Amino acid sequence: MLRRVAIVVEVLGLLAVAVFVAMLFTNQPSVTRPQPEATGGASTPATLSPAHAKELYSQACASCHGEEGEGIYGPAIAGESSTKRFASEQDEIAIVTAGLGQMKSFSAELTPDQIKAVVAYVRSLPTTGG
Amino acid sequence: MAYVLPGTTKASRAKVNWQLGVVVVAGAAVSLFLGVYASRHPPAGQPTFGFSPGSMLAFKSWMTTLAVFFAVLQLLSALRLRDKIRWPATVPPWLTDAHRIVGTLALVSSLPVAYHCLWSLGFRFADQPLRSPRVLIHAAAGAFFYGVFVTKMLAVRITSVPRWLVPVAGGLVFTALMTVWFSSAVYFFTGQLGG
Repeated sequence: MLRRVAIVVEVLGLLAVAVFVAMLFTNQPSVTRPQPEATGGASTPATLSPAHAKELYSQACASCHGEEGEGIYGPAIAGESSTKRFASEQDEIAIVTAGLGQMKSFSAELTPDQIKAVVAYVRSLPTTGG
Repeated sequence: MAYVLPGTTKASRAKVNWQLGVVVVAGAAVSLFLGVYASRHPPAGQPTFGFSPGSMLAFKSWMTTLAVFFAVLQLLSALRLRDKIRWPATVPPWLTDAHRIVGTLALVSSLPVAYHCLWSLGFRFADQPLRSPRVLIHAAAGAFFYGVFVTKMLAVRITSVPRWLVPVAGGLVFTALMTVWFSSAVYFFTGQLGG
């Protein structure tokens, strides 16, 4: 009886491996690029409210840096964690735009103004995490 | 006609060496594939299976712990099957099948974790100055785990491979999984991950 269970479990295990491999190649990330707010043109920092910046951050950054910027896989970036690492806001914008190491470039997902707003939001957060 | 022990003639030794090479190369190919995928695939940077970023990490940590639990059961059953431990006094007839089942469950438990690591995070060793040895060790152990797992699975199905191969491969599988666990889930449970 247990022999049959073992065979069934192994067959299911092989199926799981097949699904695993298939998902590696077929699953596409959900597009996170938010549309500019309906202002009749390209968004500007003035049109990006802190709430909108927070929403962008949640969609694009929180999966690695945490909802509060406390760091998960990526480092903590809230408040002083960013301002100490990047003295200039432009330096941080450049990293978000171009990517660094394991962090991908966000130039295809966020507009320059959105990146600027998100960086400003991150730097304004209360410092948490390491 | 005299019985010839496997591996005692030149032809059979060549066959054994060839089979040994195949199982080792197959495992190495799997590890290599995972490493290449992790470094070449653009990381999605998203949680998977409907989890939020924070709960994704907890899910992965617990699934890895579950895999370790099954792996410990498999190690203990292997030790009993090979008479390295003497409890229970007689080997239960079902132990071989139980050994196979828990091994498969350990593998299956690890797959969602590996999927998120590979698909969502990736590994960019060449692009970055290494900030964290933990990440390097974790990635290498993860790729090695699946490769040596494949080697072991092939080896158990080839009766003519050297007797030491399966326990050595099994030991390496267990070591690799423990390394993966110590370099990720333990960090999570002790609050050291992130930052």
